Amino acid sequence: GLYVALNSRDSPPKLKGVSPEFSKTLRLAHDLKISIRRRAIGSFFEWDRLDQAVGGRNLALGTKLHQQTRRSIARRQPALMSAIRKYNAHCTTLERLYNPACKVPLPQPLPTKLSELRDNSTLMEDVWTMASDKAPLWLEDADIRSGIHHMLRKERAVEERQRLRREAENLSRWLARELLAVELALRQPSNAPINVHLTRHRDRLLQLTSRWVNPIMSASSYESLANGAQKLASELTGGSASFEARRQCANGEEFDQELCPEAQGESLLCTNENLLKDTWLLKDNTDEQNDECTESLLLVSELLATEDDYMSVSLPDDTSTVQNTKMITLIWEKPEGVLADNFEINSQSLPPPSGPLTKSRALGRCLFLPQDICRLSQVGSMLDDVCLNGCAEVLKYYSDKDPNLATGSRRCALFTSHDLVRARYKARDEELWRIMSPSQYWSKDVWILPIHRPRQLHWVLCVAYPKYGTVLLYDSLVGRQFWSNDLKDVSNLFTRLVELANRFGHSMDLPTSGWVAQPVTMTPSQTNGYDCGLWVVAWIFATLRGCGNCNERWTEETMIQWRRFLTALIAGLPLRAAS
Amino acid sequence: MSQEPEDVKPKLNLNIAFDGTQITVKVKANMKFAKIFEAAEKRFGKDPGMMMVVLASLLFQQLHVSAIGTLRFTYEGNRVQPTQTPAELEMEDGDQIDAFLQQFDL
Repeated sequence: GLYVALNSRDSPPKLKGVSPEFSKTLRLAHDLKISIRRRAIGSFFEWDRLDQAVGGRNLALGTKLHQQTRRSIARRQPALMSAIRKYNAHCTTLERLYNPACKVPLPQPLPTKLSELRDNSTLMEDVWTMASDKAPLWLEDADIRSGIHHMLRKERAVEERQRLRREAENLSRWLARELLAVELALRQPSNAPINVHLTRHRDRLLQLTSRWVNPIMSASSYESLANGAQKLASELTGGSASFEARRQCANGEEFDQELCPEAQGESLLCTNENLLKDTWLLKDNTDEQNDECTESLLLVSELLATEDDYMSVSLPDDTSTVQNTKMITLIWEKPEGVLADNFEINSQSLPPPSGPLTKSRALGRCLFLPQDICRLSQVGSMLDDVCLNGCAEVLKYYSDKDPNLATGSRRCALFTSHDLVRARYKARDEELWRIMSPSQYWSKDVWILPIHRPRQLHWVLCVAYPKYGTVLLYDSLVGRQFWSNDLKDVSNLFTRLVELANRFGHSMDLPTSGWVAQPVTMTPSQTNGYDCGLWVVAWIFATLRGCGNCNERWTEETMIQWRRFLTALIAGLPLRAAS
Repeated sequence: MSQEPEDVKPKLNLNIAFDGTQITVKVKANMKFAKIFEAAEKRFGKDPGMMMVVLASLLFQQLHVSAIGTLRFTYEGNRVQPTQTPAELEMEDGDQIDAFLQQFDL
């Protein structure tokens, strides 16, 4: 009863073989230490508050608050100091009276400087007022301690898993609802004027699924989700969405017309008329005008498709003569739903350099000579084709190996900056296929194509999502007028790629028209004359990681760190065996 | 009477493609690529279209004059070094080498 009233332990301290003096001082020290600890921690908080803006971590405190805090620190400081001094005096007394037989560990004096006090681990220790002949196991045995740590960690991991599962379920539920909504909207005849937008929205949603694949939700479960939504929507409305019509309408200048709120049949048919060059085809079309319009549309589009195919397939032993510059339409609008990457540059996570930078590095087919590494490492120097293509390939190599990134990265086919050059000079099929086929682009969802513009001495990037007919454009200087020329070449290249894949037995069911290109970067991210290559590598990396853009924290200043990161990455590659 | 072809080193025909044109060079297997590259660059360098590109790069960029206009050569996707030889890369008759103009950025 007495002990409880004195705010002390439930049981009296059991000490044997000590003088009453020692026991008294020990109790005093014990209580004093609790008080010191409380005051010291309060003081730490106050100092932290004062220093909260150090190194730009936080907002500055403001003069008034700052002075207030200083005053309160000054007010409390003497009490804390005298308490510590008193405690230290107790410590010396205890040491003088110490009898080793009692097995009470001696308390250690505390430092009187604040910073030392902060680092001092004995501050948190209680003063022992009991004989410690049987110290608890967790105090003695490191294994027990680590066991406790791991048990705690396991509990947190289980909690986290439950949380993640809940989150994944929420995501998939949201996706299912959203998909169903858009599928239903696609099947409403009244929505025909916004068909293109709806389909693109649906495509974007479907694109999300491949990014969201994780150990909790597999790709197949997402697939069944999408199929389920389609089936349910078809059951509810009894019709199917007319994608063919969309592809026809999204072609070329007719795209805007399609968006006009007109009657479905009329607007679609008139766009088809614009497309048709052959008069007899046109006549066929008008004959069928009275029929149900979707049917006739499908028919027309089929006719057009076969005609398209003949245009390019019947000619050719070689597709180098293909002229399909209108495959991709440029729409100068930022696409929605482009995910920003959350990657933080941290060179520490990279392996250490494998040797001096004056040695060549090699990985797979990449080869970095000393002059290439020098170019890459020097701030202010421009990336050339070796650095750019090499860095991209090394990043892809590592992403393919990473268990978290592999699913996203393996969906990508990484082309080089020389590939578009080949399309420009109309390389023969044999050459194009020999060089492009190792990427197995026909089985990939993402095509990454860095572009070099010799006239402007500039690097840009083009990322295509062939399944969705979407092309994203990246340019650190945002030169809108230059894209139309590049896109013509890109159109030709992609058309040829599709045809070559079909010819060599990898059937690609891709339309060679109606693709849409949109710029991801609308404001220039570069003001100097040498960072564009680094930006292109950064965007390639974001794409490999399954995202569409770097996050907004990436600025021109970040490029210096990014350059350092890439240099460290290349420096960590194996040295090339001297030949 | 002597069996000449046996002690004469076999020569290889290598195809080098650049910018849509293709040339064939006949080389010894142990000849350094530096020499082959030089010959190829000379051949391709005659192309006026390429000369203009080279000139343009020269105009815009004084820093890397020494490196301008040189070509890069790859064999089966791997960069070929001037110090290597066809024998080292185990090239065979009729093998294809691709050449590109070096690309610089702004």
